[in-house]
Amino acid sequence: MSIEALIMQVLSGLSTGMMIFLIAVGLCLIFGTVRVLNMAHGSMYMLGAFLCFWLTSILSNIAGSFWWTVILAPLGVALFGLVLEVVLFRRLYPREMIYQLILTFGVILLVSDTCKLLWGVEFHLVPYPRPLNKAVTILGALFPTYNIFLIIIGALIFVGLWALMRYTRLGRIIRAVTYNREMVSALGVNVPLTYTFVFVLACWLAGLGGVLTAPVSAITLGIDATILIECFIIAVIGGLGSLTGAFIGAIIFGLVNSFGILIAPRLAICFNFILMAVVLIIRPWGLMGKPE
Amino acid sequence: MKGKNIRVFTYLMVCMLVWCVVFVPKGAVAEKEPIKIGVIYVMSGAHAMYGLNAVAATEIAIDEINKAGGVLGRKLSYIARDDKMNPEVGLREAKDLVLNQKVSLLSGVLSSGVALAMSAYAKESKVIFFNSMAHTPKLTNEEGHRYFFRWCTNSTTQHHSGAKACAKYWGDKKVVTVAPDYEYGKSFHEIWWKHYPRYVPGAVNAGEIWIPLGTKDMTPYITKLMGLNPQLVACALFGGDQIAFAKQAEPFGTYKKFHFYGASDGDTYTLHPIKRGEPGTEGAIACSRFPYWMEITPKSAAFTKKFQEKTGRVPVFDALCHYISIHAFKDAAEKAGSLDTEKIIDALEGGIFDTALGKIEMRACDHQFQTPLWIGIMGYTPDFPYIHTTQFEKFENPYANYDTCKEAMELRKKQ
Amino acid sequence: MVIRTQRKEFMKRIRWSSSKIWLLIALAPLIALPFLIGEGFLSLAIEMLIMIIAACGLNLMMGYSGMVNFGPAGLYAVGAYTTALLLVKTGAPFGFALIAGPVAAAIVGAIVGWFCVRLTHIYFALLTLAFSQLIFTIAYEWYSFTGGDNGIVGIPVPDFLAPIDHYYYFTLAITIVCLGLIWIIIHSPFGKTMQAYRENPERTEFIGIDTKRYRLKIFVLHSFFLGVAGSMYCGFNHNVFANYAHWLKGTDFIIACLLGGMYNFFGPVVGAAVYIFLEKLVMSYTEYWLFVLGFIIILLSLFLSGGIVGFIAEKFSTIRVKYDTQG
Repeated sequence: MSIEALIMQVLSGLSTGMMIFLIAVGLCLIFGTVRVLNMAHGSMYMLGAFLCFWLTSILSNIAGSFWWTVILAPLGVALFGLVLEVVLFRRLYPREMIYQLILTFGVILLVSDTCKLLWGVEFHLVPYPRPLNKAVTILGALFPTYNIFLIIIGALIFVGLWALMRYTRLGRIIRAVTYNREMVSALGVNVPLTYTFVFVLACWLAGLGGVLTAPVSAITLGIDATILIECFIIAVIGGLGSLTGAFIGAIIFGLVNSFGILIAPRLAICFNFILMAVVLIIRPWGLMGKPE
Repeated sequence: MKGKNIRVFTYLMVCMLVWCVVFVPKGAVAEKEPIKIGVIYVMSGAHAMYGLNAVAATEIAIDEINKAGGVLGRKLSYIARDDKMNPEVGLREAKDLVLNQKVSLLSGVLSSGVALAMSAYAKESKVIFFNSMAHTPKLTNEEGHRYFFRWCTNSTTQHHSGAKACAKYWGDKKVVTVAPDYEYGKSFHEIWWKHYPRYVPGAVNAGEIWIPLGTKDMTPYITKLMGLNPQLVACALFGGDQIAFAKQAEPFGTYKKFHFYGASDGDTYTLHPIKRGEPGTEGAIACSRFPYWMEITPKSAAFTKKFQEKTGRVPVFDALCHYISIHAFKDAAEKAGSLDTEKIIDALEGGIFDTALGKIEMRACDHQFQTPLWIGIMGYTPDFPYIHTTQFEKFENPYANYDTCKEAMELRKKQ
Repeated sequence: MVIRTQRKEFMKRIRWSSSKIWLLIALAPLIALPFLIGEGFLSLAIEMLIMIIAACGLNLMMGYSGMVNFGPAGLYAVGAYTTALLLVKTGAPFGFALIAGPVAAAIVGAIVGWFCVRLTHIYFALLTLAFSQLIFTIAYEWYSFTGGDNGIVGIPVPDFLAPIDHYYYFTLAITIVCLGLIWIIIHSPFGKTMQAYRENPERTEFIGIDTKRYRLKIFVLHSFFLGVAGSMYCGFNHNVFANYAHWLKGTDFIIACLLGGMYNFFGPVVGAAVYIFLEKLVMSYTEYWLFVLGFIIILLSLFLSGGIVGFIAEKFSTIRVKYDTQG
C-alpha cells in the first residue's frame, strides 16, 4: 500500500469518525449532566435523517434546499426532544437504571414505528448538495469534498461546544450541575431547566448529525440501532460524559474501523467491540472521563 | 407472600385454559376455499423494491389465473410476508404460513441465506418451495432436494458468463472483487475465481472488499479500493447497496479509473433513479436477466405493460420469474390433476414451460429452471432515458455456463 | 400460649400443602394443552416455555441480585450454538448435546462474568453488551465453523422428539425442573445473600461478604439457564442463527422480566408468556407491533414497576385486607 493510499484511508477514517461524533456528542452531554444513558439518542438521529429526506424532497425545486434542511430539520428534532423531556424524561431522573434504560428503549420503538408509518420501509438516498458534490485532489488522488466538509464541521462543532462549556455562563452552569446538583440548586439556578436545555441541545446535535451525514449514508429503518451501538463504543472509549473524550473516541473509532477494513476486512466489525471491552475492563471511565 | 403468588399464578393459568378452550381455533381447512400461496420476500430496507415487485407480479399472475377459471376449479390467493433479509425471520414466517395459514406452496426469496434456511424447512415439512430470486448454486447442488425448485438463473451462470465477457472484452489481469458479505457474495467470489483465470491466464487477486449487508457509509471501502488500484473491479453488489455504492464511489472517480463489472447493474431497477447526464456506471459490463425494454416474446411485452400499469414502475426479473413460477404451478397442478404435493412435483420435473422468456425446461435432476442471460455494456440509447445494457450478447444455450446434471449430483453426494 | 403456637404450626403446615395443591391445579391446564389447541399454537406454547426459562434465569440476576445484564442474548446463543454444532458436526447423542449447551454457556458466563463483576452500574451493563456483540460478531463472521450469517439449519433431532406434542411435554418437563432449581437457589442462603446485595451493596460488603465472588456465581448460574433456553430453542427450531446473539434479541428477555414483574418468582413466567402472546396478537391486526410494545414499555416503567404479577398481587392483598377487616 502506498503512502497516498494510507493517507486516503486515514481521511476516510476521520470522516467516519466525525460523522459519528456529531451524533455521539449529544449522548455524552446527556450522560455527563443528567447521568442517564439515553438509548433513544439514535432515534433522534434517525428522525433528523428522515426529516432531511422529507424536506429535501418537498423543497427540491428551491435552490439550496439541502441547506434549508440543515436549519429546519434539527430544529424539528429539538422540538420533539423538548416535548419528550418534559413529558417523559423528567420522570426518569430519580429512577433506577434499569427503568431508565428500558423507558428510553421504549422510545426507540415508538419513534422507529412512527418513522415507518410516515415514511415507509424503503431505502432513501439524498444527493450530495451543491457546491459540495465535487472532489478535491489530495496527493494525486480524488477525495470527495463533502467528506472533507464533514471532518471540518465535526471539528468546528467540537470547538464550539468546548468554548460554550468553558467560556459562557451557561456552560459554567452546566458543568456546575454535573458536579453538584444540590449546591447549584441552592444557589438559585433552575436545575430542571438546565437539564431540559442540555437534553434539547443534545437532540438538536443528533438531528444535525442526521442531516449532515445523510448524503454519505442512507436513510432507512434500523439506522437508529446501528448508530446507537457506535455511539456507545465512542462514549466508552472517550469517557461517558466527557466532551473531549467523545471527540477523541470518535477519531479512534473511525481510524480503527478504517484500518480494520484495510487489514482484515471480515473482522473489521470486531475490532471496535474489542476496544470497547478492553477500555471497560482496564479503565472503565474511559480516556478522558473521571472515576466515579 | 409465597402462597399469594402461587395463587395469582394459578388463577392466570385457569384463565388461559378457559381462553384456549373457548377462543383458539383448531380445525382443518374447508374444501372449496382458495388455494393459498405463501410469498416471503424482503419488503423493507435497502432491497424492499424486490419484494414489493414480487408481490405485484404475484397479484398479476393470480388475477390472470383466476380469470381463466382458477386451479382445478379453485381460486388462488396469496399471503405475503417480510423476511427482512434475515434467515431467522424468514423461517418463522415460513413456519407460520405452513402450520397456521395452511399454504399449499411457499415462494420467495431474495436472500440466498434465507433461501437456504427455508429450503431446509421445506424439505423437513415436505412443502414445495419455489425460489424465484436467490442465486447461490448450493440451493440446487449440495443442498438441493425434491421439494425445492429454482425458477431463475443462478450465480454460477451469471458470474461464469460475466467472467467470460470481461475476459473477452478487456482481459485485465489485476482484479479486485467487491461483494456483499453474505452467502451470495461468497458464492460470487468463489465462482469468479474458479472461472476467470481460465479465460485470462495470469489473472491475479489484487484484493477483496467485503461489504457487510446494511452498511451505509462505504467511504473506507472505497478508499481501500482506490488504494488497491486494480485494472478491473468485479462487483456483485445489488439493490440499494449498489445504488449507495455507485453514488458514494462516483466522486472518487472509481468508474472512470477502472474497468467495472457490475453483476447486477443490468437489471435497471438497480440503477433506476439515475438519468442521462447524472453520474452513473457508463461503460461497465453488466448482466441483464430481464431486458424489459425490448420484446423478448409477446408474453414478456404483455407482462411489462401490465406491470407498469399496475405499479407505475418498471418490472424486474425477480417479479417476472415469480410470475412464471405461479403459472407453472397452475400448469403442473392441472397436468397432475390434483393438488397432492408429490404429484405436482412429478409433473414439474422435466416439464417444458412456454413462458415470457421463451420455452424453458425445469431440469429434473436438480430442479433448476435456467432462464436466459444477457450481457452488455451499460450506456444510453436515444429511445430509452435510463442507463441500461446495450450492445449485448445473449448466451444461447442457457446451460452452457452452468454445472451439468452429473456435476450437480456429485456435489450433492459429497454432502 | 402453647395451644396458640400449636395452632400456628398447624396453619403453617396447611398453607404449605395448600400451596402445593394450587401448583398442581396450575399445572393441569399445561398438561392438557396439546389436546386443546392445534399445532401452530402448540408451537407458540413451546416458545413461551423456552422464553420462560430464559427470563427466569435472567431474573436471577436482574430481579434478585439487582444487576442489569444488557447482553443475555450472547449466552443464550452460546447454548444454542454448542448444541447445534455438537449435533451437526460430531453427531453426538441428543441428550449430551442438550446438556453441553448450558454447560458451555456457564463456562463462557464464567469468563465474561469474571471481567464484568469488577464493574458496577452502567459500566457493568455496557460491558455485558460489548461481550454479547462480540459473541454475535464471532458467530456472524466465523463462516467455516458457525455457518456465519447463514446459520446452521436442518439440525437432527431424535425421532421420538419430532412430533410437536412430544417436544412440548419435553420442554414442559425441562421448564419445571429449571424453575424448581431456580426456586431452590433463591431460597438458599446464597439466594438470600444476593437479595441482600440488591437491597444494599455497601452494607453487604461491610458485613464481610465477598460480593465479587457472589456476583460471579450468580453470573454463571444465570448463564446456565440462558444456555438451557438456547439449547431447547435450537432443538425446537432445528436451526441456529447469529441473530440469536444480537443485543436486540436480549431486550426481549429483559422486557419479559419487567413486564411480568422483576421482584416476583412468577413474574418472568407470566411476563414471557404475555409478551409472546401479545406479539402474536398485535401482529395479526397491525404491522406496527413495535409501536404498541414501546407504548407498553413506557407505561410499564412509569406506572407499573411491579409488572403484571406485582400489580395483581397488590390488588389481591388490598382485596384480602378488605375482606379480613370486614370478615
